Amino acid sequence: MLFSLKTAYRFIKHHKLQNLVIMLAVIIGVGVQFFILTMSSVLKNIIVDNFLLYTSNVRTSLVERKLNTSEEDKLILQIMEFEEVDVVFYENFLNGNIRIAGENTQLHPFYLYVAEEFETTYAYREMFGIGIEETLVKGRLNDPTKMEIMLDDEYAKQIGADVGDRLIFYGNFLGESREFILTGTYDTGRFHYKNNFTYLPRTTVVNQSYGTYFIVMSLHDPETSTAVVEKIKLLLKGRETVNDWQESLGRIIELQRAQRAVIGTIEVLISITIFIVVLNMLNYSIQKKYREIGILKAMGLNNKSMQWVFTLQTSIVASFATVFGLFFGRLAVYYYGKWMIHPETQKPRFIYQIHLLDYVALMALMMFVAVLASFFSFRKTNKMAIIDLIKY
Amino acid sequence: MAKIIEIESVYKTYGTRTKTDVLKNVTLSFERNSFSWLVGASGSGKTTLLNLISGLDSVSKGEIRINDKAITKMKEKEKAKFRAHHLGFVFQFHYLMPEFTALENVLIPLEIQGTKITKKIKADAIALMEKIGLGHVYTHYPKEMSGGEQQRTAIARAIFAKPDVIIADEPTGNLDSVAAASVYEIIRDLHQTYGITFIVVTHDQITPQKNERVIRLHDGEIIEDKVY
Repeated sequence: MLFSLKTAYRFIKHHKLQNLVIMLAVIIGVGVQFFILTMSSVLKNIIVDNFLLYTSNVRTSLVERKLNTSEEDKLILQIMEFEEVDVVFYENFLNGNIRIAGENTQLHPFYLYVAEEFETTYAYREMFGIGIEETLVKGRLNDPTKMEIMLDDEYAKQIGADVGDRLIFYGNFLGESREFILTGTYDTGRFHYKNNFTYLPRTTVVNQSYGTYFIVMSLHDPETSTAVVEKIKLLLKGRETVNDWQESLGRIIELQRAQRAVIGTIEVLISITIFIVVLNMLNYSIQKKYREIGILKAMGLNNKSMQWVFTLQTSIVASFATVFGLFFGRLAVYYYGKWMIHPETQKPRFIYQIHLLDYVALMALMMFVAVLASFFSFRKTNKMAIIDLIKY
Repeated sequence: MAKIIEIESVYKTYGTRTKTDVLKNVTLSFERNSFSWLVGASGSGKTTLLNLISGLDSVSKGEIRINDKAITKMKEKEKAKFRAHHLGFVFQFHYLMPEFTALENVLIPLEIQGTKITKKIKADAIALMEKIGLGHVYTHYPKEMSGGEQQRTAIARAIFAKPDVIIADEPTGNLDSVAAASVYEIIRDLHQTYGITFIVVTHDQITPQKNERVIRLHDGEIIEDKVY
């Protein structure tokens, strides 16, 4: 082994150009792989941000009302202790119908989400994922405590409501109607929801025993929702149901899968390319050393030790190249990130998270590819007679 | 005297469709510490016989034993270990490792054996190299040495690990007559000093010295076997 290491080192020292080409191939490959990996992280962030980041990600349905109020309070306190959880609150979902005040107006299905007394902007963001200030198209934001509501612009047009109209909500569980003033409309555009719902603070609903209750929460990282669901299930011991966004928003999962598939394919293609380049360079390098391999074998170096020479040689070259590749990849990402600044807000648009494990995985992958190439390159010499190697 | 190499009814045939018998029923033995010349015209089978003795090639039929161990029945890994511990090689071309200095080349067989290279071993190697006129070049790489120096380094490499047998295949084939004479002189001197069994294949006209054996091959058969 020591002799194999010494020989590997000498092969590197005395054949700098060949090893430099191998290094360059690995550096470029690792750099590109790193950049692609970052792109993957950016894409993931874009997908998650657009759909999830500002809305509830986990929902405990207290449909069966098996928990009493103190148990619910206790559960909320326990959930608040989870490091993954950003915000947690009660939510009461009431369905019914709405019509514009006046004679001969039609009823339209409508839903009220009753929750804590949040500020309007906060409530819309936490409950529906809507940045209400940015999407306001008409009127002003409502003051929920004054029985004011807002509607989706498309929905308002559909039912013929305009800012300033009085709207009457009927829910058979309320036992009476509620009258609201429409203060503004918003347009979420790309989401294309049929937004026939609005938010009301808990204090405006007298009887809270009707409807469907939830404990909802948004997480710092929506990807952790599965783990959070499992933790809550343990606390509930199967008494209520718990869902997360991954169950209810299959489209996001599909998008993420598509993104992973594209990135994965590119990564695999790059790995194969590096494998071929390294394999060819090593083939060339080993073919030039047939005689030396033959002489060493004639002197008693066995196949395994001989294989080690080339495996070590490639490993040394590849490990240096991987470090350089990561450095250059990181540098490229840094400058690209600086360049990708929103022209108006000056906020970065190329947001990524690369974890230590990603670096380690990338290094391990490249080392594996290089070592595999050395194995295949050397295999041929095992099949040749020593005397043929010497005479080559 | 004890026999170190025994060759029994060895055949070597090349080709599958058209078969060529390179060695035909060769039976031969070599005594420990002997010095033998294998001579014959091109294609007579002398290099083939040498390759079979060293396990670099396999016999078609027959058996070869070295130190009572049948090299013809060994697996590749066993053969490698056997060569590392019992055989030394000198080829027609020096075949030194270009990435190693002359001294390092001399030490390679010991490193392959797994011997730790101590200062004493290095000093011994340098002493051997000085003895054969390489004292001024042991730190040089092969490309910085003359053909004669390279071949003498190859001889030092073969002998330093003190194998049982040294197999030399036309060691002067690539040298001028002066360098060739010097190489033969060194080989004979080392044989006297270390008492190692030498089998030397040559094309050259040789003048055997006392106790030297000459085996002449022709068309794969031994036609002369004489001790002077």
